[in-house]
Amino acid sequence: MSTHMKFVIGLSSLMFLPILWHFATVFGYLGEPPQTRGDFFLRIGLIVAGFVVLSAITASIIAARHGDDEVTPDEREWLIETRAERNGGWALMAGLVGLMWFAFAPMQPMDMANAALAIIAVGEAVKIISGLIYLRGKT
Amino acid sequence: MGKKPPITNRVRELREQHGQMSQAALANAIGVTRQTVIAIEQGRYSPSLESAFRISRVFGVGLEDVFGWDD
Repeated sequence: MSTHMKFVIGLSSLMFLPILWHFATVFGYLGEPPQTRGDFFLRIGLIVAGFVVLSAITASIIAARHGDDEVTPDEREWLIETRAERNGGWALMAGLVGLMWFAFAPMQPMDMANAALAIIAVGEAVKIISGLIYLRGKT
Repeated sequence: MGKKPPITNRVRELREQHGQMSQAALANAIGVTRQTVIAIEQGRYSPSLESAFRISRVFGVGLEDVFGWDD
């Protein structure tokens, strides 16, 4: 696997750790779940900001050590990423349709927010897994 | 991912004919990763026209000496 793909897949997978921690709090396994809109968005905002900062730092380190080419995809990787993102997009759309269905049943706002976050996480997982499958198979 | 296109290539053979050029050296010469060269050689990926031309130029042969269409 090239440095670029390791970088992309590694960071995307790493993002699941705080998301898993969040859902562990929601289901009562670890700590306190967010109670208000402010709490929820502060937590999600910190996770996203952490991801962006970590991406920037990691990309800078890789570029400094191995050159800029190592952080950019080549043509096959670009194609794989495009296809994987398309699959992630389909998963996201399917999840939103499911959410529309459940939205008609009484749902707490926090449940709705967590469901949306879960859909985003599943879409990301579909992207990573399909990317790995394309990497190993025919592109 | 669709049916495998009937495109054949002689990249591996040409590498061996060019002083056992490594996959990494070829990858570096055409601006792709070694994994992409491996995928091309195994017929798992059909390179862009630009890369196909780059490969043929590295070996100093024509495009159809590297790639073929298997009827």
